Order: sequence, then C-alpha cells, then structure tokens
Amino acid sequence: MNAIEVVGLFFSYDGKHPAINGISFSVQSGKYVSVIGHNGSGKSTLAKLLIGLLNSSQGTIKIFNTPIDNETIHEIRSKVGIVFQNPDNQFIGSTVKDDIAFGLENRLVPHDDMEGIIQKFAHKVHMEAFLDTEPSNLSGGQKQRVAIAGILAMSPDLLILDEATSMLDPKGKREVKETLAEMRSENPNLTILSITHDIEEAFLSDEVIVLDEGKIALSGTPEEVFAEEAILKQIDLDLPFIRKVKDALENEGIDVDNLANLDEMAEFLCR
Amino acid sequence: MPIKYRGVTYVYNERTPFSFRALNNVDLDIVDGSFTAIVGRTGCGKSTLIQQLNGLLVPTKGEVIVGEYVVSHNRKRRTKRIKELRRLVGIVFQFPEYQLFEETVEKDVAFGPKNFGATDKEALENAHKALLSAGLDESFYKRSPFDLSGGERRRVAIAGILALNPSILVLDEPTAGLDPRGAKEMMQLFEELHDKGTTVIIVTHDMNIVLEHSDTVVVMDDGEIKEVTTPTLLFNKENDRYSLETPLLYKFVKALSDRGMKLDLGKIKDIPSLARAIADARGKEQ
Amino acid sequence: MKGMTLGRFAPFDTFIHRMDPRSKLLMLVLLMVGVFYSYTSWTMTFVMGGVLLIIILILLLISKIGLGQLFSSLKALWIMIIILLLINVLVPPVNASLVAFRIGDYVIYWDSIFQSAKIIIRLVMMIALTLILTATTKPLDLTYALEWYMMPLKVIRFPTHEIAMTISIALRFIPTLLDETMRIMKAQASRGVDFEHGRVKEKIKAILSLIVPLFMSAFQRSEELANAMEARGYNPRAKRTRYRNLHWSTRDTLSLAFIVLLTAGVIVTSVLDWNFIDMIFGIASLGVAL
Repeated sequence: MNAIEVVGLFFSYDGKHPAINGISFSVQSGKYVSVIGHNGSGKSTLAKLLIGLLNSSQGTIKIFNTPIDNETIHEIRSKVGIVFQNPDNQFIGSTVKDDIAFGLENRLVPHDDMEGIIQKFAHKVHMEAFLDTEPSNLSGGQKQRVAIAGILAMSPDLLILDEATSMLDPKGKREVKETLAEMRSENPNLTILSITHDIEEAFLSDEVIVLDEGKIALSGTPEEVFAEEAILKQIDLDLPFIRKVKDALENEGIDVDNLANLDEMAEFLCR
Repeated sequence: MPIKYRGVTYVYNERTPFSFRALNNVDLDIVDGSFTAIVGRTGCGKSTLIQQLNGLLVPTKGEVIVGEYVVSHNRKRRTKRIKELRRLVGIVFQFPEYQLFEETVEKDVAFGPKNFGATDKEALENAHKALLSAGLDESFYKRSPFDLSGGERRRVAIAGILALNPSILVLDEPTAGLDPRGAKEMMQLFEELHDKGTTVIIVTHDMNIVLEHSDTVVVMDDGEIKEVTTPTLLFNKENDRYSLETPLLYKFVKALSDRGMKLDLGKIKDIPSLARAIADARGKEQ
Repeated sequence: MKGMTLGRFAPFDTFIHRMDPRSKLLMLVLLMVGVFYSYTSWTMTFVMGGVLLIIILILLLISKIGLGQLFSSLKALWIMIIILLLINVLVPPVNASLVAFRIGDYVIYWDSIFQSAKIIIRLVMMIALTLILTATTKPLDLTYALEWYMMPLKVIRFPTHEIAMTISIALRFIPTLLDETMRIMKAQASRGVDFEHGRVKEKIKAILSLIVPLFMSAFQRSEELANAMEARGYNPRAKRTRYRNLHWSTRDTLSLAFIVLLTAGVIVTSVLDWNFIDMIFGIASLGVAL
C-alpha cells in the first residue's frame, strides 16, 4: 500500500500565484523520502496539505488509501504525525509530561493508561529525566524530541518532518537524527517524509523529491536525482559533498565510480 | 579599530541564587580588518562575549577596549559615549527578522540612522544603499516588512544595521534557518563588506562557514578562550573536546590520511584544492 | 528569565501546599469576606480583626512565607497608606466623639485613627491572604481550580474549557515571551534606541519598536501553535480525557469546615451585633459583684 498518493495537486494562498502548481507523486509504506528545494518552492505548503491544515483547490491526496476530506481528516490525523520547525511553537504543555499528554487527551486515551504511555515514550526519546521540566528550561533539541515522543505515543504510520532540525544547533540536530534513526530501526514499517535543507540527509534517504516553484523537478533514488547535475544547477541546488568531490576529481583526471559514502571513496582513492 | 578584551569576567544575576559566570577572565585581541569566527558549544559564552562589544553588557570585572572606547566595570574608565560605540559596532542577533516593526521596509532600515541623528533624507539614502547591498531592490522599499518571506525579512533586518555603516560588524548565527542558497548569498554579502575593510566577527556553529570565510577562529568553552587559531590548524586536530563539528572536507581528509595518503593540509581549503591535493598525492605515488 | 518575584510560587512542601487548589481558592474567598465585615464598637472591630490577623499569620507561617515578603508588598503601597491616613484625619468619620489630641485649633479624633488602622489592617490581611494562595499554588493548578468552578456555566454554553486552555497556554509562554522581549530590546538598543532617556516622541517610538515586533511574533506563534494543536487532533468542542486530576482529601474537607465555621462566626457576630467583649466583661463584673 502506498502511504501517500498525490495526484494533480494545486494550491494557492492568494488565488493568483500557485504555491503548488501541479504535483503528482506517491510514497510507498516504510520508505524514508526526503523533499528538498528552496524556501518558497512549496515544501511547507505540501506538508500542511498532507495533514489537512490546508485544503487543495484541485487534485487528490490519499493517505493509506483514504482521501483527505472533512469526514476523514480526524481518522487520518490519528495515523499521521507532523513535527514542525519551531520547537517552541509546537510545545503546548507546561511540562514535558503535559505536552506528551496533550495528544493522548485529544485521542480520549483513558486517564489510567496515560502515565504508563508517557513514561514509555519519554524514555524512548531519552527525556525521562525531564518529565517535570518546563519548556523554558529545555534546549531546542530536547523540545523537538518531546514533540517526537508526543507523536510516537499515538503510534502513527506516517511521520512528516517539516524542517524539524533547521532551527537547532549541531548537538540538537544530532540528537534528533539519532532519535529518528532509533525509531526507524524499531519500526521498519514507519513511513517518513522529511522536508529538509540537509543535502547529506537527502543523500542517505530511500527516495528524493526535488521541488521547484511548486512543481516536482526531479524524483527518484538519491543516485538518480543527484546525477542530474545540470537540472540541479539550473535550480541552484547544492550537490551532496560526495558528488562535488567526484566532480572535482574528474576535473583532475581521476575517475571515480558511483560510491555510496566517503569511506568507500577514500578506500578507492588509496588503493 | 583594534578590539581588546582584558581580564573580562561576566556574571549573570550576581548576588542572587541564580548567579551564573558566563565569562571567566577573558583576554582576547581581535585584529582590525579580520574575519574572525567565534565557535564553541551552546552555552560557552559566545553571545555574552559579543554583547560586551557595544556595551549592551558591561563586564563584571575587567574591560573591553574598542578603538578609543572603553567598556569597563570601572565607571570612571567607562566611556560616556556608548551610543557612538553602538554605531561603530553593529551587532546583528540571531533571527534578526523579529526586530522589524515599521510600516515600510525603507522606514525600518532608516530607523537606525535616524536614532543616531541623521536627517530623514540622509537616513533614507543610507537605507536605500544598505538595502541594495543586502540584495533588495527598489521594489521592496515601500512594502510592509510583514509581507515579506523569512529570508527577505532577514535581509531587511541586516540592512538595518548596515545602514549605520559600522566599522565592526558582529553577526550571531546569521545563516541559522536559511536554506543553503540563502546562506551562501548572505556570506557573500559579508565577504564583500570585509573586502571593503569592515572587521567581521561571526558567531557560528557552521564549521563550513568557518573554513570558507574566516581567517581567525576563536574557540570558547565554559566561558573561557581555549584557542585562537586559523581554520586549517583548528580542523587538523581532534575537536571532540569542544564539541565542534568537523567540516565534511576535513572528515574526508582524515579518512584519506588514515588510509595512508600523504596530503599537504596547508593547501586544502575547499573541494577543488582537495581534488588537486589528491591528484598530487597519487601522482607522487606513481 | 529566572528570578524571584513577589508572590510567586515557592516550591515548599507544606500542609497548605499539598491542599487541593479548589479548597484553597474557596477558603481565600471566605476569609476575604470575613475580613470585610464591620462591627459597631471599635473594641469588637479590633478584637475580631486581631483574631483574623492571628489566624492569617499562622497560615503565613505554615506556608513558609517569610514576613519579609509581606512587608515588601506593603512597602510598595506606602504612599496609599499615607494618603489614607491623611484623608481620614482631615475628614473625620460621622459621629466622631473620642478626641485624641489637638494641634492648635485642629481636633484629631481617635475615631479617625481607628478608621485608618482598620483599613490598613484589612489591607494587610488581603495582601497576606493573596500571598498565601499564590505562594502555595502553582498558577496552572489555580487555572484548573477556576475551570472546575466555572463548570456549571457550561449549561449556558460558556467556554470554560477554552478559557482554561487559553490561560494555561499563556502561562506556559510567559517565560518564552519574557526572553523574547529581552532579545528585541537588545536588538533595538543596538540600533540606537534608548529605552530610558529621550523626549516623549522618542520614547513612544522606542516602545513601538518593542511592542510591534512582540505582537507580530505572538500572532505568528499563535498560528503555528494552532496548526500543531490541530494536527495533534485537538478539538475544543469534542470530548477529551484529562491527564491532570485534582485530588480532594480529608485535609481539604477539615480545613474548609474550619474556615466556614470561622467565617460564619464572623458574619453572625457582625449581623447580630454581638458585642461579646462587653458581654464577657459584663458577666465577669457580675461574677465579681457576686
């Protein structure tokens, strides 16, 4: 089953300029898909459309085969979790416990079950020592991990990350990435759609979608997408480091096969 | 204008149960006209350090000397002309777009110059010049800052400081939250200013920026200056102790040297130079 | 921003801290009512006032609130107290009879002095009571208590839950907004804004440069928060379960009973005009006579 199926999607904020200008794509269950593109390319708009915070003017969105509309939105939101960019503006509770509980309260989880669930998922994101801490005493990375815990507690099948690490310092970025990696290994069936600026992250995902001015410019595996250097250059998007090195080496007359990571390339060059 | 920190200590909330020593006996010289990066993990004192430069914070002990101005704990030594200092040292804080408030872009950028005594006409001229150098043309002048995108608003905020024509530009994480292209353009702007003679001081976590643009790196940890060095020298060492990210370039260099390749580290600053160094090393082997 | 502000929650673990916020709120209201009842004779006024004051001081002690905090808040009101004294002295109450002393031609009655003292003591008690409540109860718990008391209003479709949610989110954001205010102030100060000196026109511009960004950022926050809440399935009108529950214990029942009796006693004494001090003296002198 496809986690996401989008056909002929159009959306405009002001009725004149389309933020999403005809997009169709699908994401298979269990895959890690990165969406890259400049600010203004439509990435965040897409995230909001996928979770029904915005309504498209044209086209269909199906989440696990259920089309999004007013009747299904509640059911869909129970299967989809989204982590936004600003750690403060999605932290609702007055403490870590209360924030994780917020989602549980909305979903009518019985009071007696709540404490156990909160402890379990706080532990999963390594925040169990901070259960009674207020958000003003937490770092950005910690707040994002709490957001993830709150979402995980609802056992979603699809996780959307809308530039979830953009506003974090390197430590926070690392913490969140590690948490996500742990999640993935524990739930191989979890589908992840990550909107990101991090080219290196995109390089490591299963599939990459490149958005430009509301349209899909490229999509496919990272190898396929990043091989299209002409198109990427036209859009003025950066290449992953490894590709840049490959190109530079070719300029010096050294041909390097398509290698998966820096260590392999180092091996190759030192032979 | 040379910058000197002499024995600077700063304690927040002194004499309360929440007191916190953010800077501990700091001695530092920043060379006039340099492009200096200040790095260190969150909480090491970077922000506190730069706020002493325009007198937003005054040292609990010691003093900061910027040209002829002294920001000192000692009231007698402290300059009375703090306001002048604030024009000479332009500080752009993190996420500066949150400081915009005027009805139009040009009015907001003109706000700074007006506070320092410029006439309306002069202020607008400065504003227009600053906006152009920040990459915003006339079409932006009369628009409301709140109608712009995040990246555009950041440029307006930075133009707001550039309009003061500071000799020393201090930037706290200027590329935070920007996409790679936006970040590149922003750094280019600072390079241009640096080329024209402005001393640029940048607080950042982005080691790629440090490598690509700065000539001096100041490493801080726990409120103290641990090292003042150059980017190449910094990244050639293990930096786990300061929690500094190693730029990919140097991670790759390490991967190569670990496998026995002999590379002249002094010559490697970016990817093309890395490729050349690799070609040379392999050429020598053959 | 961290730091001690007057009347803020002090995290001790006293009897009063452990009480349910609903009972504390109700007791505060009852005692406030008690503080304001009047008596015909000055003796009664001061005796009852004294009794209440002693009880309140005991409560202060139990809650581990230093008397210093109480006096600090009074210090802030000293101007008002002086004005009160002056007004009462210059305009004596009707039926003033007991002359205290004279300054030249001017008569100063004991009644004036008693009246001022009565007002000041009431003020002290009001402040002390409020202090006891806020120092022993977390703002969020107070919100829950208020929400509980507003529940009957649900019958007329009053948005009790929404109001409680609004207050709790506002409380959560206070430290965040304070930090943001500091940041904006620093940014504007770096652009030459002087928040302390300057002509009126400049000061207005200075305040605008602080308030406008705060407001705009608050609006943006609200929008992002609303999105996050919606995405997590929030619907204020739908049924929701509750994580935090308030626990009413025997401690609360007994304390409330005591305060209710006390307040009832105060009201009865006032309404029936029981001058029991005179009664006691009467009985005592009767006893002596016998």
